[in-house]
Parts: sequence; C-alpha cells; structure tokens
Amino acid sequence: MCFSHDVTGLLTRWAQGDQDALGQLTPLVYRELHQLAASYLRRERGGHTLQPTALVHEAYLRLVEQSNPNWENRSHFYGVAARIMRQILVDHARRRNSGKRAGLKVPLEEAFGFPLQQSQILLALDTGLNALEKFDPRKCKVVELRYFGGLSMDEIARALAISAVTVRRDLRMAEAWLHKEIQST
Amino acid sequence: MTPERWAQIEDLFHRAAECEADARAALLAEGCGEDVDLRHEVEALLSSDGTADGYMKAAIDSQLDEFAFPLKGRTVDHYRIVQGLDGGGMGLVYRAEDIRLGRAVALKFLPEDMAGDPGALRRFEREARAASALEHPGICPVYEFGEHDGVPFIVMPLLEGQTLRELIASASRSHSFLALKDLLVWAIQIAEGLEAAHQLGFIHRDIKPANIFITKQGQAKILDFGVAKLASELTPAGMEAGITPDGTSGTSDPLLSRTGLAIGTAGYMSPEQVRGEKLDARTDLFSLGLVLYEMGTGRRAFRGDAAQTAKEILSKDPHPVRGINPSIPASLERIIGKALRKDIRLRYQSAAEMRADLDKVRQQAMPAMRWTKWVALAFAFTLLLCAGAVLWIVKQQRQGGAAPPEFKLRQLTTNSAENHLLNGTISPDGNYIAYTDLRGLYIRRIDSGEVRAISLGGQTVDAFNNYPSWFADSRAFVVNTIPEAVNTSEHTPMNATIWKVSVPSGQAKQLRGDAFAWSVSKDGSQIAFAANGGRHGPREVWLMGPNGENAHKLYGTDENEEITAVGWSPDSQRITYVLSSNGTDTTYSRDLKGGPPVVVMSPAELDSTPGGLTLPDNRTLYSRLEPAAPESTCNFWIARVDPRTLKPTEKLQRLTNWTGFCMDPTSSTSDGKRIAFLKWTSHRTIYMADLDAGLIRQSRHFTMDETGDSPIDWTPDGAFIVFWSVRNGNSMLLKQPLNGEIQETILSVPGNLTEPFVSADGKWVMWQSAAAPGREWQELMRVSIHGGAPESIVRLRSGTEAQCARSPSSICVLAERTADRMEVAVSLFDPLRGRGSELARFDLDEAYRLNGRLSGDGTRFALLTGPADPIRIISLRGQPEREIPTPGLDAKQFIGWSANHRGFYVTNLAKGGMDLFFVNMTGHSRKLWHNDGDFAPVAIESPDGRHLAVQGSTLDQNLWLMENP
Repeated sequence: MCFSHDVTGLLTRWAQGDQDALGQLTPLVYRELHQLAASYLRRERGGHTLQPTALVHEAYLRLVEQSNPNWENRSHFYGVAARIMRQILVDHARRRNSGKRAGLKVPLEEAFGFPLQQSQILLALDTGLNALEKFDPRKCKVVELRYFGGLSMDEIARALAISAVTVRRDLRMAEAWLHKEIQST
Repeated sequence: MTPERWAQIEDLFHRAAECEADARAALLAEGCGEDVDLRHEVEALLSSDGTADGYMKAAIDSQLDEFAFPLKGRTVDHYRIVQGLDGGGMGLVYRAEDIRLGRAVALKFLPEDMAGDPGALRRFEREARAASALEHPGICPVYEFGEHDGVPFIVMPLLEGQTLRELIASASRSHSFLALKDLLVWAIQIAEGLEAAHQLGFIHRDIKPANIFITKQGQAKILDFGVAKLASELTPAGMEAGITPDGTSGTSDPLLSRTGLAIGTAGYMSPEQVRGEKLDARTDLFSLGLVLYEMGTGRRAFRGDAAQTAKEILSKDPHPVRGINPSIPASLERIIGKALRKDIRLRYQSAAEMRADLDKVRQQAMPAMRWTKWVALAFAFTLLLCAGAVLWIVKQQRQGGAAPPEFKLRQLTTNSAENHLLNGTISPDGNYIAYTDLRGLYIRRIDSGEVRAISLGGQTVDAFNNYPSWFADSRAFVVNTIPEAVNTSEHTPMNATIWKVSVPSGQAKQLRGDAFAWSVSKDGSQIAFAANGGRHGPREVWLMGPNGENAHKLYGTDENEEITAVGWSPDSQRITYVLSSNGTDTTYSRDLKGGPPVVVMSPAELDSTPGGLTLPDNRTLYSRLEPAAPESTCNFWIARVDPRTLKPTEKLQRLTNWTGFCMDPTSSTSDGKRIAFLKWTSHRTIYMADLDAGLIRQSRHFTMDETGDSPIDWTPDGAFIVFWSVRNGNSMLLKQPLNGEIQETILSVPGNLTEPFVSADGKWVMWQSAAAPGREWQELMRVSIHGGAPESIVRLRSGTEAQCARSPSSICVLAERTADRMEVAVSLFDPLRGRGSELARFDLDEAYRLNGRLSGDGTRFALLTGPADPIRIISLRGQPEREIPTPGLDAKQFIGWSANHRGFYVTNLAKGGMDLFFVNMTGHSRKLWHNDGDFAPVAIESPDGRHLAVQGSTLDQNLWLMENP
C-alpha cells in the first residue's frame, strides 16, 4: 500500500517524541480500521464474533512496512490503534444510543445478551476509562491495550516498559474499579 | 480522587485480595482504621474483583459486530436480518429470515458506491431476475432482488460450507493440495453448472475461487450468476478497478473491498476480458481453467500487480501444473492447458466439452467400485412394500473389513425445507426426473437442469401414497392427484384421479377419475390401478392400456380387505400385490391369463422382510436407520434377493458410511446404473406464536438453527425462552430473548441430560443427569440461568420427576413411584433442603409412564395416562381427583398448563404429523397448530399469556442421484 512508508516513518518520528507525527498517523489508522471493520472479510468465521484484536492486527499488517519489522513501531502502532478502535466503537455506541445519556446505569443481569444494553455498557466503560485516565493514566492504557488492542499481558508489559506482574495487578485493579463504576454510575 | 488516595486504595485492595477470606476483615479493619469511606471503597472493589472482563469484552465485541454489520436486527422488506456473515469484496452478506415464507436466506448487498445509476440498476434487476430462473445443483440460485436505501441486494439460499478460496487457502496453510478426487468432482460440478447456464445464454464473467461455494454435502455451487454484469455497466472505469490483483489467497483485497465489485477479478480474467472485448461463454471456460490451476497447485496462475497480471494473461504461459504438484495426472494438466489457451479458437468451445474431458480423467483416476457389477440385466420387478416400510431397523452386526466404497453422488433438486420434495423418480433412460414438491409437479432434464412445471387442472398430486411411475420409453409417466378440497386426513386413494404426463409436450392428460394408479408394467403396455374401494381402501385391481383404453377388472376382494401395493413381474405377465385383511398383510402373485393366486409371502415372512428397491440384477438396496446415532442417520445396505419373494438370500452388506441424514431409494434407471433417492433430514425447531384471545394470531421461526431445539420454559419476566438443544453431540441449555436473536449458552455438556426445568424464581435451570445402567439414582443438577459451572444438588431415585411451579409460587415437587410401583407420591421439595411432606398420592398403572405437569400456581398436577383416556387432575391440597374427558383426542402425547392455570396445551397424534390443541377445564378443545413430522409440538405459554413457544419440526428433502462410477 502507498501508506506503508508514511506510517512506518510516522511511527518512528512519533517514537522519537514528535507529537505532530501522531496527529498525522491517527487519521490514517482511523481510516484503515474503519474500512476494515466496515468491510471485514470474515474468513472461516464459524459463528465467532468479530474480535478487535484481529482488526488491529490486520490494520498493522496492511499499514506498516513488513520488510523491516520493528518492535517499537509495532507497540506504538498498537497503542494508537487501540485508542482509535475505542473511539470508533464508542462513536458507534453513542449514535446507537442517541437520545440516551452515556453512563446510564446498567443492571448487569439485564445486560446479558441485549445489544442495546451492551452499547450502554460500552459507553459506561468509556466514561469510566476517561475518569480513570485522570488519576491513573497507565491503568487506562493497560485496559485500552488489553481490551481494544487485544495485546497479551507480556506485549502490554513491553509496550509500556513495565513488568508483567505490574500489568496483571493494574488490570485486576482497573477491572474491579471499572466494574464498580459501570454498575453504579 | 487524589493520587495518594488512589495509591492507598490500591495497596489495600491488593493486600486484601491476596489474603485468605477470613483474614480479610481483620486486615481491612487495621488498614482503614476510622476511615469508613476507604473501607467501603475497598470492599466495593473486592466484591467487583474478577467479575468484569467477560461482559466488558462481550460489549466491545458486540459493538464491533454491529458496527461492521449495521443492518443486523433490522427488517428489510420482508426479511428479518439476523446476523452478519461476510463482508467480502462484494459487500455485506447477512443471514436473514424470509418472514413471508419462514425460510432462512442470505442477503447480499452490493457495495453502496455501486448504487448511483438507476438505469443500470434496473438492467441489473432484469438480469438478476432472469438469472433466478437458473435452476441447477451447480448454481446457487438468486431468489429475489431488492433495494434498501438505494442499495441493491440479492436474496439467495443460505448455504453451509466454504468457498473454494477458503478451501484452497486452508490446504496451502497445511502445506498440502486439495485431494484429487475432490478437485475432479468439484471441477465437473462447476462445469455442469456453467454448461446449464451457457445453454440458457448466461455468461458468468467472474468465475473465481471466491465465487465457488462448496456445501457441507460436497456440492460445488457457482455464486453470483447475473451479478458480475452489473459491474461492467456501473463502473465506467471498471477495467481499471478490475485489474487489481486479488490478494494472496487468504487475505482480502483492499482495493476490491473498497471499490466493491470485482469486474472479472484481475487474476481470473480471460485475455479478451483484459482487452475489454465483447465476451461470450468461452471467457468463463478460461476462468475455470485458472480456477482448476489454483485448485491443483494452491497458487494463482498469474500473479503480481495489476499491470503485470494483465500482461501475463495476454502473453505468458503459467508455470506447468505438474511442476508444482506432480500428483496431478498429465491428462488433467492438458485440460487446464487447453482451457488456458490465449487464442479463443483453440480453447474449449463449450462447457460440455470440458466436462466430458474432466469426466474421463475422473474415471481413470478413481478406481472402479464394486457397483460396476451392476450390469444391464432385465429389470426385475420392483415392489415397494407397504408405504413407509422402506426404513427398516434391524439389529444386524456392522460389516467389518474394508471401508465402504464411495459413490458419485449428485443432487438433483435443491429445494428449501419450506418447499421440500414429497417424492420423485428417475426415468428408465436416466434423462429425466419427475418429482413433486409442496407446490406442484415438475419434470427436470437432468443434464441441462431445465425444469418444467406440469399443470394438473388445479389438483394436487397425492404425495403420500405413490411415486410417479414411468413408462418404459421414458416419454411419459402416470401420477395420481387428489382434489384440492379434500382434507388429507379424509383422503382415501379412491377419490384420486389418474393422469398421464407426456414428457415431450409437458401436457398432462386425465386417464380416469375415482381411481388410483399403482404402477405401469415393465413393457409399458398396461397400467395397474385400483377402483371401487371398500371400507378400508382399494379392493379391486384393474388394468388399462397406456391411454386409458380397455379398462377391465382383474381381481376383487371383499369389503373388509384392502389392497395396499401392486407391482409387476419383469415379463409383465404377472402382478404381485399385498392384501391386507384384519390387519395382517399377505403378498400374492397372480398370472394375468388366469389361474389361482400364489402366496409369495405369508404375513410372518412379510413382517420380517425389509422393503427396499430391487435392482435389475436381483439385488435389493435397503435404507437402514442407525438405531444408536444421536441424529437420524441411515445407510444403504444391499443384498441379493430371491426374485420371487424378494427375501434376502445373503447377508446384507453395508454400502455407505453416512451420518446426519436418511434416504429413501425411489427408483433406478432400467440398466440399474443410476439410483434416485430422497435424502432427508428432520430437525426440531422453535416457533414463536402470538396469542390473541387464546388463538394463534401469527407465528414465526424463533430459533433458526437447524440444531434440534426444544423449549423448556420462559424466564419469570417473560423476556427469555430457555431451551434445550443437541449440537455436535453436546447437550446444551440456551436462552434467547423474545425479541432478540442472540442465543446465550447457559450450559454445554457432552452426552445427554434429561427433564430440564426452570426454577420458580427463574434463577436456575435444573435437570437430571443421564440414567446409567445398573444405577438406581440420577443426580439432580442445576446451573445459574446466567451460566457457570453446573452443581449437583441431590440424588433422586431413577424415574423420579422434579418440577417447579411458576413465580409467585415457589413450590417444587417430586413425583415418584411408591415401593409397590402401583402409585405415585407427590412430595414438596426444596432443591437445597431436600424432600418435604407428601402432598398427594394417586394410582398409576405401571404400564404408563409418569406423564404429568405441575400447574403454574403449584396447586394441581395434570396427568395423562392412556392416549385416549381423560386428563386426570390431582389436587395437591386434598381435594378429590377429577377427570376431564377429551372427546376426539384419542392419541394424546404431551400436556402442559396454560399460564392462567385454566386450561391445557395437549399434543395429539394426527395423520402425517401431530396436532396441538387447547383444552379447557370442561374438556372442550380447539386445534391451534399442526406439525408435519415426528416431533410433538410441545407448547409453553409465556407468563403474560401473550406468546406461545411451540416446538415444531422442519423436513428438508431433496432428490439425489447415486451413480455407478
């Protein structure tokens, strides 16, 4: 694809601290994920739900120069992509719930299996993540990478340069806190 | 929240979460001191610990799914969109239900950017409609064309299987090639499909692996006939868009999925297509050559970027097939080479020519099978013993040793379950089939797939008692019709009309009224038919000439007897018939010239002889049900038979090793080389009916999966149906919202579970573990309605039934036989605390199984005993027992209470299926539902009385051909 060099270059520049590069990168990744999600070929799907992980991974393969795999670029890419994936889905859920307010209280028992309530859960999750980011941005990032980027614990640890034990503890704490928030917003 | 406070909370949370539960309180007390808020915060977090990830992930996945498939859950025209299936190059594909016809379909939307030009859309619509006339097993038909918000879509049958592209990709991933046998069979099927389409003037223009679907049954079907043309009309810059190489196998092509339509996807275009010339059918043969190349080698013949691919198509020969896959026969390599000639005049000129060459390779490559022994002998007389006797269950040992041979199979009809076949036979010359589906009678030419509907003057073919019977010259057959107005259950063969249908003209001629044709003699000179019925059915055998002339009575029995089947000897000099007298059947043979009848089989012999299709070489083909298989499974067996008595003279040999369906062999060609059989599957499914003043206002398919679903109960709020299913050998408990599609699994366990029910508070589903031989108890199990691990609650003596009332009552009871086996005791029961006091006791003959239901308010028990006996109402509050007579319902199977406890839903066996009745407390009954098939329509009313979940069943039946390879 014609973007490959751009994306690779932008990732490198961003890794070197160039915030402008992130600004240029975001629309490219957004467009790719949006396209992919909108016309994703579900090979051998066999009734499984579409996973964000698969999309982010595919977007990476499409956008980033593969002849020179660079771990740093990959982890940065995942970081950007996870954030964008979150944005895409939250926008979608918000449109779906238009007229309703984000962060609606969702009794969990009812949440099972109703697409409508699931969009509310997602919005509540987003609200919770925004709140969490204010006082513990790292935990927010861990959740984002894990849930919207589909990274493994070890990949998150490497991406954020923290230990895997810390990732696990962060995730446990963040999940408990988010669950509490979603239930009682 | 300050960072310090957060750090404090986190520290305490992790310490508390990691210590033992009993030490936790002390730790929190010490850690929090007087800080009540801190303690509350940490306790709240601890109670949330470990509960969040599943549902949060589910919420994310579900949003993504909705995002990718925005029409999910919506209704477009009369299609209810259930689920996204695919988002490939051609736009989004959804699984949907046709609300009008109640069948499952696939809706394929064209990409939105193609939707601009109304004129072209109308032309496309015409084309798609014309293509919908293509009926061939090798072509996936287009049912309908529609438009939603300006985006056109086509409606197709919902197929199960994979595209050739996926199959090639998965072979490549495991570093192997497609099996040669599959390759050849599919190649021939595709060529046959193209042949049929080309004969009708349709060119596909976009033959490629992604457009070939291989069904689970192994039938190749060409997709999107009539669609590719749209591309060339709608995209003026189409050639540029089209000449984008398809991605490597397994990866979707980015540009294609964006521009949407592949106009002859670059890698599979013919040279004339690349040059933008006028196309004829030969373009499809070039593309098929490329598909075969890729099937054989796992890689595309022409690769590289768009321009390079185009150049190679015009000028370069691909790498030799056998250089990549040496196991490809040289003859197949030559076929591929010929299909890929750049010069259109040197290429295959017709699909038929290419198919014939492929067929030769297949015959060489696939070793001759045992069935080649079937040579053209004189046609032995074929006698279908009493209807329904074709399925014969015997407890005979399976044959050991060599694996059964594989036969070439071909699907001749592709009807959906909503319009399944009723019968069908092949002509003696093997060129035609005559068949009846729910809509009418048809003749189909097998090689071209051409179908002709036969008009029978508004009458319907009598589907249950006979098959079209062919004349020896294959130019005509006879069928019987029944008047439309006659209720099936009141129908006897004696109000039938005999018709003769001419194949060349497609005209049906009435031969005789108030008569019923059995069969045409082997030489085609006479038709044996029934006239003048007695009390039980036909009691006279008559003969007439091929055009109804010279009708005369051959033989008659008395009023109390019935003649149930008539067949002919090979020389057409004798008839064989089954005479039914006082419930016992005897087979006789009688010479047309006179003389006394000869007993061929006594009642006892007839009982022990299976029915089957006798072939010209005096062997009989039997379809035997596998008694142990979880789903209906039959296999063909064969044995040499005594030509006079049709009794096997040797041990039956098993021919097939199939699972998941059953067959009825109906006919063979006169040389015995091709056998037509009905292949059928029957599934339980759940219908949702809306009740209005106690009547069913409308109903719809509720669970669409053909997986054998049975309703168990509603949740107390009426929002969900809990149901039970057997899928892939697992017993599953699932729930689905009344107004939703998403099924949630509550439990999935291998093997069987029995008697599931929902607790009165709706929090649990309970069931009994499978009975085990030599064990006198069964475990009562439960699982949360939200899923989770099943737990064992208590052991119950085998044969004990546990049931719960509905909320607001919280009563559960156990009903079990007393020690002397003559009575049943009903006791209170608490799933956790065990058995309580006895509430009632009633007599129940040991001959009857306990078939009763607790009323929703927990006050009474309704009981069925003998099928014609009244309903018994047992009070659990000390009132005397009462009986509710149910006149007319003399074959009751199932009983359930209405939601207001003032009536019952009762299933009663009826001819050709089962009826569902509502019965009130005075015994007055009203029929609500009829279900064809062998599953009882169990009905469960919603707590608010507005809906009824009914177990129905579907029958999927098509005609197939088994060929002697």
